[in-house]
Amino acid sequence: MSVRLLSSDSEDFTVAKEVAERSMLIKNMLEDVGDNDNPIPLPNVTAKILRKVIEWCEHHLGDPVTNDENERRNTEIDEWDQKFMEVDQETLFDIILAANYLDIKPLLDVGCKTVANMIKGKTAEEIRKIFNIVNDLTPEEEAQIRKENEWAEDR
Amino acid sequence: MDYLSQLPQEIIELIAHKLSQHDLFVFCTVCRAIQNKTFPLLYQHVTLTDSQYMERLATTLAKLTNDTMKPLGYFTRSLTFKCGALDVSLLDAIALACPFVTTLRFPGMCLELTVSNQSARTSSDYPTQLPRPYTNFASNIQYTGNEDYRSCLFLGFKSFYDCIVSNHPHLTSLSFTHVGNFDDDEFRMYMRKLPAGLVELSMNMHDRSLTIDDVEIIHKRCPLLESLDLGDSLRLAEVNEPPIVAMNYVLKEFSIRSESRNANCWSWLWYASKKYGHQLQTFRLNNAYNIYMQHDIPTTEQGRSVHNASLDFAKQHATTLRKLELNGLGIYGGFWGFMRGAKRRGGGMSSLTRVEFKGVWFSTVFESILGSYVYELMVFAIQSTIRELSLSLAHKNVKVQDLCRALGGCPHLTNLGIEESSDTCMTFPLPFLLDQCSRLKQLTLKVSNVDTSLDWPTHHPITSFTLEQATVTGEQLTQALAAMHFLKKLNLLNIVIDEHHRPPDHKYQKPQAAIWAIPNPNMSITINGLSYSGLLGDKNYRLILGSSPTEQVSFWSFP
Repeated sequence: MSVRLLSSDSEDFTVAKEVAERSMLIKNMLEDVGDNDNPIPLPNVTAKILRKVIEWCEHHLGDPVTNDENERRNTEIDEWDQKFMEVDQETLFDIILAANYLDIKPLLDVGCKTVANMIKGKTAEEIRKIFNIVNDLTPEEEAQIRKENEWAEDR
Repeated sequence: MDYLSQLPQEIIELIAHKLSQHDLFVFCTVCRAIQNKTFPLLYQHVTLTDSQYMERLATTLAKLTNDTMKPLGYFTRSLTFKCGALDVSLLDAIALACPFVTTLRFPGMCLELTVSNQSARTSSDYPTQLPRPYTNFASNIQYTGNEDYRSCLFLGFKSFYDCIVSNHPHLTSLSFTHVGNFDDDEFRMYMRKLPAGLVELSMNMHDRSLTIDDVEIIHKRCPLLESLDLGDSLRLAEVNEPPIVAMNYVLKEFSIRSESRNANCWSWLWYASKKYGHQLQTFRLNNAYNIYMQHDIPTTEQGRSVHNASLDFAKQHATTLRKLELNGLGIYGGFWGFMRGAKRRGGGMSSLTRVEFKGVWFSTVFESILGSYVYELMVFAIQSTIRELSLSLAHKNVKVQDLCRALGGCPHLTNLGIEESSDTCMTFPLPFLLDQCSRLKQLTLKVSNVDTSLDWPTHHPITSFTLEQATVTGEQLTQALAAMHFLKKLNLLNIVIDEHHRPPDHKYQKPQAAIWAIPNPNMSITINGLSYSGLLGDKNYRLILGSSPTEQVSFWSFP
């Protein structure tokens, strides 16, 4: 049983139903519309990103579902996912937004873990450099924030 | 282009939840957009690690945020005081600033230090809005004049406890350490004051002799409790007459940390089988008794109750439990027989993803048939779901190769710890284990010797390896490391290097150095306790670590 998905740039993808159903959004849509041959339009996802998302869903098809809060809280990423997430930042954030829109929690989780790992242990200046962020806080404001939150500064 | 600060709030929140308090703090200072999105998150879960910051925290919590115009403290849901004595008047200010706190934690010595500091800090100007300000907890105490220091502390603790429960009646999570020891009537009275809506409760009680009645009282007071953790050096009272208990269909996590007699521990398995429904996911019983007395031979009567407790526990929880830790209460051979049997009879599969099963062998008259086979039986019972397994091989006749083969049949096993019991001296076939368990990521071995004569698998995916208390040669270790291509963490704890441990036919040459070739230059290595046996008096022996044959990274000289 396969499903057709239509990306925002009108590329048509045919994928196995169980792969597509990793997305709760698509799963619910399929339940609503029942069996028919029309492609499901995904206006928020480009073909480039949809291809990546499908690749991820295919690889993780047999994964057990985990509801364990601790397992979700840790930031270890398995090797395949690490390789999968080795993409430019635009793609990385597009995958995260797509996972959020398509409601694929484990993929969203891996994406957020990847970003969190890029932030961990860094200084503010390093974070700005990595993510290309312009510091719009004045030195006085920054000093004020540091002072007010010194309780949190302690490692 | 900056994509990060443009992310929607809900995704920034997901990322922030994966950061530590410190990293989140740094993240807040990156730019204004991120600061606005993450500042309330920083104040959602506050952990104070140093009491000197209390005043600053109290002031900032009362400050209004830029965009919502609410005080920051309104975002605070959990407060953890991981520090020394608290200034009670500042504690009042913090409590007042955070009206929606649902989680309060006072880990370690925090309460005891605060209570013992009472007279020095008591002042009269406290905020009167709170029902029972912390500031005057000391003046609530009625002394008789005959108290010694410990009793004064105990009185202080009781008064402080009253402040907690009356200032925060809506808590859902509470964690603290008792100071002093309640008698039974007092214990009942004070437990009945716990916030009735608690979902999580963690209480450290030293020297209390915990009874089933105690836990029943807690359940009666807090019907919504999902997680109950009782420690630290509890003694578990003997259960002579098993009481009749009402079922509980809410609790998911039950943990006890005790120092108690083996037989008394097992009666808590009986209790768990009669008390908790299939919703129970985690059962932990960590007992430190074996440290003090290694050989506790049970009476026939005790043996029978251990047997019955195992059977009942397995009947109720074998197919639904997800995490099980039974450490230091004596390894009873029949337990896994029942766990496996229950699985077969019920037709269900085991759901266990994490198991710890460590301790000394606990011989009872019922275990003779199973003997050393219990480990394989255990692995068969949990084979299909287990991810993390930690066990001690306590029986003298364990067939290690058979066990390795059984472990190889666990498709999801990524985390394994094996230790030998203090009275078994084991040579562990490490290459064989790695060959069998081809998906293992983390391995901890605490064994006397490692047998490396078998063929090593190539490119094993293991990333973390800990070796403890073993005697090895430099060559053995190099062989092991060569097989672990993806290793990122190597921990060597109390290792003895002995170059005499060579096969007898090996032509012996006096070595000048133990050379360990490290496969991955980007890994972390911890060496804690390394000694060298043999070649006494030879001052030139060295240990050389290097990531390539020509480049020495570092070396140490012995002795």
